[in-house]
Amino acid sequence: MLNFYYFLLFLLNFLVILIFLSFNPIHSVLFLIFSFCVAALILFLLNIEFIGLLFIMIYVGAVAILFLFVIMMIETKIHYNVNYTFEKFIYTTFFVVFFYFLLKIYYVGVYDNYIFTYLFINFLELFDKFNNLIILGQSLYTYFFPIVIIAGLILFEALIGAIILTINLNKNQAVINKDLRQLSRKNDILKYYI
Amino acid sequence: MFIDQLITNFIIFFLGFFTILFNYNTLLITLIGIELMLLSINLNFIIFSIYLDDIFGQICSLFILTIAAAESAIGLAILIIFFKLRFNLLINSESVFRG
Repeated sequence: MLNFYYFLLFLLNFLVILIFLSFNPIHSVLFLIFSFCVAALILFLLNIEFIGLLFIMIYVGAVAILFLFVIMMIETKIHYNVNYTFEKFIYTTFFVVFFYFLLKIYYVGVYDNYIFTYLFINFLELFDKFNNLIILGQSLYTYFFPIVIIAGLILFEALIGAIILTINLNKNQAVINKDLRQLSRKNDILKYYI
Repeated sequence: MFIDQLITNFIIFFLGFFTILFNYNTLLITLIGIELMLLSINLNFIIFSIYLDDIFGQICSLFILTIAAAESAIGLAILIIFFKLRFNLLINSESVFRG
């Protein structure tokens, strides 16, 4: 199981490098969805099932699909700089490998000499066995209930803000802009007229 | 195991930062970079909540999740307004200084 965990960490790093390197935003959004799924799998391996499920529900089901909707609505023009890719790939792999070994040396000095890592006994599991969901619910709705209300207000504000930003109150302007928008769909048409 | 998770979180955070920094294509990539940074912070909170045996890290990760969802919704709405004004999302100097 530990080998599978290390494989997932490697896959997460690799996917993030691919997000950084891809020119097409559709590819980067697809790699983003895949990296969220890999992060949720890592959380499943760490016995945090509820937040892993929330990762799949919110990040993959809401945020990444919102990105895909915007890409479908907006035609993005891609600039392929093929000469740059290999250099960028070398630089990023060098960055990742260098910081992996540097931080490995640093964190071993900080955390691995910590005495309590070897003496840790989970006393809750000796008396009672709780799910992750039960522990989260009990602490969230007893001690942190004002923060839950504030988070709900923030989500409500985001909903209203997104609607107000994208609503078009001035309807005459939309009619005028239609021709320009049709022309701007294809780059090459303007070249023939000019 | 703990150390390797911390290192991957560090690398994800800074690669998300570099996607914002070395972005010559579209404005949409910056939002993806911000999402990656928030993902790495989430994983960091969760791994420290396991390490210290404290539930507060997981609760913080829940609220970071809500902030990420709200931020992406408003950011994409702003992107659509940007597209209405300028008909593209390029951030080259040519498209910005065209007027």
